[in-house]
Formats: sequence, structure tokens, C-alpha cells
Amino acid sequence: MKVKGGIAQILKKSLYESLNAEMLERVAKDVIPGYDLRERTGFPPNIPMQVQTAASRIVDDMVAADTFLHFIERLVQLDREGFMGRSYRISGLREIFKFIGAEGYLWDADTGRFMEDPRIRRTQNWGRLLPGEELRFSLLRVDVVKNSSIVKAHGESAARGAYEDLRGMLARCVERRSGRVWSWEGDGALAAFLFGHSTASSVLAGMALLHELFIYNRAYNRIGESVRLRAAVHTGPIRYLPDVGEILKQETCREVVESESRWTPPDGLSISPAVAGTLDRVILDRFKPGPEPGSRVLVYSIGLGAA
Amino acid sequence: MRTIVCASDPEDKKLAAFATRSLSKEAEIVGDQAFSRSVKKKASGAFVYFDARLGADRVFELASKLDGLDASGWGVLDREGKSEDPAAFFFAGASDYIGPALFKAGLGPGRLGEALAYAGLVDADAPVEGADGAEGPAGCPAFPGWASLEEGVDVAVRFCYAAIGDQRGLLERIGDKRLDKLKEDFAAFLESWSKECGGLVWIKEGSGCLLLFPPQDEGMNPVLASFRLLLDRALIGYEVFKLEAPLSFRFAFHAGRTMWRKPGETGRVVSEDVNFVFHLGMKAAGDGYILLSAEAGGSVPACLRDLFSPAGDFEGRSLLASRKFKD
Repeated sequence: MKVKGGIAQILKKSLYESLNAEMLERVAKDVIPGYDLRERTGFPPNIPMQVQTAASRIVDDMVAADTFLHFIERLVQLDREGFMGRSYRISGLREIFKFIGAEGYLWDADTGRFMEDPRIRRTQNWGRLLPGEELRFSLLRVDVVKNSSIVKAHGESAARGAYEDLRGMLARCVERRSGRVWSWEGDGALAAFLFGHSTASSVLAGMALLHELFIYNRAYNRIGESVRLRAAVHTGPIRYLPDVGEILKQETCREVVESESRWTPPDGLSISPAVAGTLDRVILDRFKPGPEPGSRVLVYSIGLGAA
Repeated sequence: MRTIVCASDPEDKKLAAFATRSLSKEAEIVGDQAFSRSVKKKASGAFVYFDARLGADRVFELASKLDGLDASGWGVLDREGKSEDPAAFFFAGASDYIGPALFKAGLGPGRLGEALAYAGLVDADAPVEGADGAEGPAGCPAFPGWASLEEGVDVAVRFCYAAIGDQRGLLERIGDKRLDKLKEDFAAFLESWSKECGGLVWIKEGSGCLLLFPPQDEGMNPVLASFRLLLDRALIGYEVFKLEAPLSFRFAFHAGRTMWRKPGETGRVVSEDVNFVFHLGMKAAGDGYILLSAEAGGSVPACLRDLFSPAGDFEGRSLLASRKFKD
């Protein structure tokens, strides 16, 4: 996020009105591990540092490290929860929120994090993730069943048209729930969810995609053969990296791919036990044990009965 | 496309009146013997309605002669409701069935076009004949839009009764205050939802809403849109209404006529069709599927037709019901 001078000044003022230099450095260390205020300012240990100096230096460093939003989030947490049993009131937070909102960011109360306003832009890192930042994500993996036979039967051009439609459906289902499509390679896709109730959002996006595809195959499919999917949802830690190829090598990604390819039947959406444990009963009840022997996933699929 | 009525008595006046009023002024009525002798000449490029009084076996025999003819299709006129198994006609390739109530009321605008689309003789998405501002196939004027309707005029519309399902179960789970709020929210939801199909919420009644849609599709087809809601019921309950209990819907469609009054000013509306659709929705429809009168059968888009099947009669009208999604 680009931090304008005005907001930086407001934050500096807010900090020296609200915290002492020691507490300021502690908060800074939570955001930038190993942060050493005296090393950065050049103040020797035996000379007391003015809180204005500390606040100014820390804010400048946060802006330079692109961790301004992270720092504000930590201050909000301090304001709400205190530290070591002591409460800290951070002045000016309301005004700071206004400035950040004007820069195109929304506050997500569920996670206590800022995310980019999807009405303004939608980027792969929600406008705020930093390379190497490790967080718990929920992942939705989607794979087209018998992709190569569709291409063979209907030609590359027709298949490409159907996949473009599918891609649009996936983007709608995912982005409507604050997720991001991280990769779409050939016949498979990976979408990530971080904000709101991320696991529920990823599951609902998967269900919505199956529903859209059901209608699409009946009403709008132009290739004359149903496009079928396997989808899977799993949650776990991921170190965010700008290179999606590097993300896909990580354990949580490998697990969701395995869950989709090994345990999920065609036209099904599977959820791992880690996901199932977070879902409300009204959604969880839609899932049944997976058909494969030894499977630990639960599977949702569309079934039609008699009238 | 030409329309033909094939009957044992080509001089039948009621048939002739129906044909000119509901099919086309040029509709031809031919005897079954004459039809059988020159079927290729008569039926190529035509849609044929067989009079059910010929008997099912004779209808099947004549219909089989249409196989392989260029651009032809067929349906059944069952003015006396004598057919024991109307679905058998569809299994044999029929594209329309007109029961006694519909025969009496006459076909609404667009019905013949829907039958032709069902038979694959016209594009299902193509505008129905007459929808361009001229006259519809039944001689009815094209729908002018809700804002242009004058108070008190008689209009042809499609009715849809929509309600939240299992309200008794929900009452036990969430209590009366939340259920009342849910019904209010559902009515508000239907307002925006029906607009996507060119419709509106016309009457809000205690347990459900009566919606109106234009006689021909304007925007999304309302039956397809309803089907979508049934599919999305769990998502809508959880994400839109923040409900922690399972949610279902019920839909009942009928096509007919009513006196036009603006929403909220419908107290003086007297209409047999309005009464019927309320009865249909409240007494005959069930949770999780769509029920249609035969008059509204033409509203089922071609892509969903295999999911609908005959569902008996109600108050003298034949019904069609969709399959249900499993929970």
C-alpha cells in the first residue's frame, strides 16, 4: 500500500500520544521480527530516546518495509485486547481507518485484517500479503474430468470456449466470497480464501460452482457434452509467495490436490476433516462420507429424486 | 409454420373455433382418413394436433407416419380428458398436450411457439412469433410492460406462487418472530429476483407471494430461475438469510388472465386464474419442487423438460411436476 504523508503524520502523532518508546518497539518487533530501534536510530543504549523520535522512526520503517497495514492491525489488536493484562488505548484509529479506506482497503472484522476493496481492484495477494508471510488459508481445488477426451472429441477451440465459461463461473463463485483464483492451468484450478469465514467461504464457493455447472450443462453448454468436475477443499498453513508455482509445491496444496484426485468422485466436492470441523451443521449435513474405501473426506454432490 | 388438426370429424365446430382462436386463422382441420392417405404432403413443415377422440392407438399409428418427414411435429388435443395416460404421448414423441381446461380457456400467447420449440422446430431462445409488437399466435397483443398497463385491463400473464417450505418445522426451530422476519426477507428477495425475469411481486400473502411474469420470457426464464433457487437453497438459506436451519422453497406456476391492478392495490381483483394459482400453491404444491398447470407447461425451457412429468389433475387442470433435489 502506498502510504501518503498525511496518514503517516497522523499515525506518528497517535503513537507518541498513546504508547511509550519501549512499548512502541515491542509492537514493531511483532511486525518485523528482530526490529532494533536503537540500531535503526543510532541512539546509544545509555541515552534515553524521546517517544516522538521512536514513533517517527518506526512509522518510516513500517512504510519502507511495506508493513504499514500489518502495523495498524497490530495496533488495533493492542487497543482491543491490551497486552499482559494492561489496556492500551490508541488514539486516532478512527481517522487512520478513514485514510486507509480512502486508499481502497476494507477492514475484515472476522480476521482483524485489511484487504483490498474488491470493487476497486482484485489482486492475487488481496493487496496486502507479503512474500514469505505464512498464514492459514483455505484452498479450493478444481479439476476437469476427462479433459483430454473432451478436447479430442470436440476440438481444441470448442473445448477452450467451454473452459473459458468454466473459468468465468469459478471466478464469480470465488471472488463473490472474497477468494482469489491463484492458478488455472489447462484443466485444473486452485483458489485461495483468507478473509471472513474462509473455510465456509471456500466450501460454499465449491458448492455454488457445481450448481452453476449443472445449469450451464443443461442450458448453455455448446459442445454437446457435459463438462464435469472434481473439486476439493482443504485448509492449512501456506507461505505466500508471488510465484504460484512455488506455492503449489507446499504441503497444504499437495494435500488438496491429492484429496481431489484420489478421493473425490466426478461431479463431487470433497472436504477434508480439517475443513469439516469448522463448518456449521446446516452446511455440513449436505456432505456424506466419500465413496472410496479408506476415505476420510466428506463429499457433496447434486442428486435428483422423484417429484 | 402451418398447423393442422387431425380429427375423425373435420366438420366439428368446436374444434374449428379452437383452431382459429388458439392456433392460427389458417389452421386446417382434416379427417384422419384423408390425413393418412396424404400424410407426406399434408404434414411436411407442419405441426399436427391429433384429436384424442381418435383413440390412443390411432394417434400413435398416425403419428408414426410423421417420422422422417421434414420439419414436422405433433401434439394431442384431449378436449374431453379421455386419455388415460397423457405421458404416453410424450414418450412416443409428442411435443404438446392440451387438456379439457386448456381447450376451454384457449391457448395463451406463446404456447404454440413453446410446443414448436419443444419439437425442435424453432430455436427455444428465439422470440416467440408475435413478440415483436404485432400479435401473438393466439391473437393476443404482445406484452407492453408493467408500467404501461392500464388499471383494470384484462391481461394474459404467467402466475407464480412462491413460498418458503416447511414453515411449521421452521417455526419450531427458529420461533415465530424470526420466521416472520424470514418471510419478510424472502418477499424482499423475490422482488429483486423476479425483476431478472421481467416479473414482479404482485400480492404478498401470509405464507407466500404471488408473482407475475410476462406471457413470454423477458430476461431469464422464470421456471429456470426457480429451478436455480431450488438448487441453491442451502446457499441462500445460509448466506442470504443467515439461517442455521435447512431451507426449502415451493413454486407453483399457472398461465392465464387477470384484471391488472398495481401491487398493493389488488384488493378488488376477481380472477378465476388468481384463485386457481393460490389454491395450486397452497394446497397442491410441495416443498422442493416446481408444480405447473398444463397452461404454464410451455414455460418449461427445453433444457429442463426431461425433469418434468405429468402429476395428475387439480381442480380440473392437468399438472406437471419437476423432480426434487435430494438433501
